[in-house]
Amino acid sequence: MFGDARSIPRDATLETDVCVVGAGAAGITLARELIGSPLRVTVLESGGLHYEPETQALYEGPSIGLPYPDLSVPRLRFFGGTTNHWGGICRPFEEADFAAREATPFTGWPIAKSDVDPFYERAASVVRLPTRDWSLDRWAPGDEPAPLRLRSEHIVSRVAQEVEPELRSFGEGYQEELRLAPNVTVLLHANATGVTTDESGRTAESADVATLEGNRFSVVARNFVLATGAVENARVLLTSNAQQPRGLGNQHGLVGRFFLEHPRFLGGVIVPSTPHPNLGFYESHRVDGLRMQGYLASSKEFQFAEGLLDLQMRLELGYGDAPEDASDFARRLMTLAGDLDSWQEIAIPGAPIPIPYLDVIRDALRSPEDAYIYLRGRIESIGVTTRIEQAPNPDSRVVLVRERDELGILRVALDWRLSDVDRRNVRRTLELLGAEIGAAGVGRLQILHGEDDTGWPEDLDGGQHHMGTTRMSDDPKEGVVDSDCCVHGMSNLFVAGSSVFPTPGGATPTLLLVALALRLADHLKGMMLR
Amino acid sequence: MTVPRRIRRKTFLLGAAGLGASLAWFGPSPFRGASLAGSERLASLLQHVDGALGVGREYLQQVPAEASPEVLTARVAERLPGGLGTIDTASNGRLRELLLSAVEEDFRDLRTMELHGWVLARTEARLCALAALGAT
Amino acid sequence: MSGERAESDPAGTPPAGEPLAGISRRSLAWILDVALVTVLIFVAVAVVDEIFGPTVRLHRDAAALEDVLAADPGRVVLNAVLATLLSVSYFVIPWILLGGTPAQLALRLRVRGSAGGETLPFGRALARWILLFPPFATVSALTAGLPLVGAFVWGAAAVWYVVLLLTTARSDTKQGLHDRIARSVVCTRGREAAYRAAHVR
Repeated sequence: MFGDARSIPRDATLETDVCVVGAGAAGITLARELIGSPLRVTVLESGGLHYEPETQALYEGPSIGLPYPDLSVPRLRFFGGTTNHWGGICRPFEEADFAAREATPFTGWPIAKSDVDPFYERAASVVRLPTRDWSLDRWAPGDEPAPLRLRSEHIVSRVAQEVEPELRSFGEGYQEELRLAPNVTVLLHANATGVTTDESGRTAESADVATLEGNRFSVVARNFVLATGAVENARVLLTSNAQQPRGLGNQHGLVGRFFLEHPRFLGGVIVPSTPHPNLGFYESHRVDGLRMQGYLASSKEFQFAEGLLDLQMRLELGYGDAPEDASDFARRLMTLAGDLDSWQEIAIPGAPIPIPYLDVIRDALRSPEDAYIYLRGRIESIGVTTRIEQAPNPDSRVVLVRERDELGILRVALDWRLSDVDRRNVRRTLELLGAEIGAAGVGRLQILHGEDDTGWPEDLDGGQHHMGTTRMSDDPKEGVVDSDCCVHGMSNLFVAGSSVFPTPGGATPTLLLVALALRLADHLKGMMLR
Repeated sequence: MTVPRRIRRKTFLLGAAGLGASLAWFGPSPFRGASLAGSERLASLLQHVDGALGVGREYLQQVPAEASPEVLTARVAERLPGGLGTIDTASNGRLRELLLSAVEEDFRDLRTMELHGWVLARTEARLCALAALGAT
Repeated sequence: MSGERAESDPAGTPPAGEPLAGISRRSLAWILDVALVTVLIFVAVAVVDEIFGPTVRLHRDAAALEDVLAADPGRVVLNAVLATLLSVSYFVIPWILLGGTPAQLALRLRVRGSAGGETLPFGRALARWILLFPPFATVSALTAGLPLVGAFVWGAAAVWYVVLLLTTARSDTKQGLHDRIARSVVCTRGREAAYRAAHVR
């Protein structure tokens, strides 16, 4: 059921068994898993059912490190969280993603892929993926489109599935189910301003809640789960400093540190040796009606051998522009004549000779360049956008700043940093890619940034993947939470979401964070229902 | 996912030291006749000669020890069966084939170089260098 | 001779006294008719598109190239039906009423029943239309996205028209496969009276 924090009596104390802070992908997944159990669950969601500017403004925070948008841009603060503008791209982590890398400090998860596999199955259903098969055989059964045939095993092709756009928002998808759940209450407009503990600091006792209208109350629970995203999870822990001046879980100063992203930028351009290379596999497309996106990556063997982390390479096909002269135009017409697919779509059916619709002709005359899109023109260049598995960097962090938000809580700023190993990762992998595509006769690669460039490219961007600020480790000196996602030094405060990732892996985070939320739900049920 | 970037051909070619599609590298040659000296012959097989010049000059800067037609031709010849003899006697088509195969081998064995950002096989980089020498 | 109707004539011999039309004139008429009916269809569909919105929309910012062109399947079917009706009307009605399509009439061609009828009855006119214009384009458009089907269809279309042309050229009575099945024959009008006068006893 749904409730609104604005109508809770002031200074009331609500009692529940599990208090989940945040109704995004992780929070909603957790709450759903507890539906029908004997446990009472209260979910505190800061926003309402839809976007509200005043609530969104609570997310504002500057970037003080590498260029990054204001923190209110990549995140959404209403029911469903950031899934309300999610890209839907899913792929599970591989075994090697969980392994420690000798050459790179702070890598390695305290759990293995086998610990997560049982939950991946269920996670795929939660995000509404039609299949759990990511193998190339399944997604490239024939010749068209097909992955690149490269000679060596060091550059591999990978499949990422795409959730259909109308199924991506957890808020829209699971609202009804939570509304009908008798043991789960979602309180909207409920901002958790901090977690209060007992005197020893080992047991969380209550979550303090405030509304923008000035209401205040608290929620007492047996167990608490923070599921507000990496930036906000860190913020809540840091600002819950009534008993622990450094914040909760921060005895070793790790909360907020190791902020991880999948930084991306255009790393290189390939000039293909043929005008129509078979690269449809690397564009977003459908196989048997299901959406997928292929991409290239360095192999795990190559990564281990070179002491590098993962690098994903997305290909962006650049089609040629308007014909340069008469013979060029004639050549393009010949291509058109040969491209039956285009004709079939733009020609009026039933006419004895194929003739395009008037609208198509109008569009073509209005912008001949764009009209070439109809004709699936020549590919003149292929952009290689690199997405880096950022190496864990303790100096890349979310920090409290002096400014306070409307609720009086200290804001955070993001000091995003990368390391030389990230730069070396791109360079070595692109050198390898260049040799591979040259050997395969695909074309020639030009690497856009020189070996001696010390800065980062102008088009450096994050993937809107926030990870690592409450990283997982069995050693309290290297992590904020343990392998059960429980905050070190505490008995009943847990963290869900990608903030627990010690490394970003070579895949998008959503599927894994949902799997970990399912795992945490099972753990909580196991603990509480004995 | 962003809309596919369309890089304007002319600007791209200018910015990229004028390298065109790589198959065109060893396309039909404007030069005819086997009476050219070995080094000229090799350079003549490059289709987009003006494109290769920038890359060639960069090669000459990076490897000054090879900055002479004789040395470059000898190095290229090492990668061909029959060596210098092949360069003199083989037909254009055959020579092109052998060069392409040497280029492929170079890539496979990671004998590559980066010139103006381009990841090129050593052999083709040397051909560009020959063209650059010939142009001066 | 002119009065007798040999209804049970299976081979479909042409009425005596009428010169058969040559292939080139018939082909020219066919080309002109195809062009004309295509223009009619184009205009009709354009009008429908103006009223109800375009059938094919271009989404320039689509993430996937295949989503750039989006054709409304219902409208595609509607257009196919409209085009087919127009095509049928353009050929069949003039054949029945006037013995020739606009281009045929302009080139002084007449489509007659081979057993002596002035013009074709409805059933045979329709059959002739189907044989001259099998729904290759429609099948191709409706199966857009299945490349093998498209190639097969266009290949079949090419073969079909070669067959029609060859059978027409090689027939003594210049009756192609379509003429034989529909029991029609194409004659040159205008010289009819003169011919009859010269040859009919």
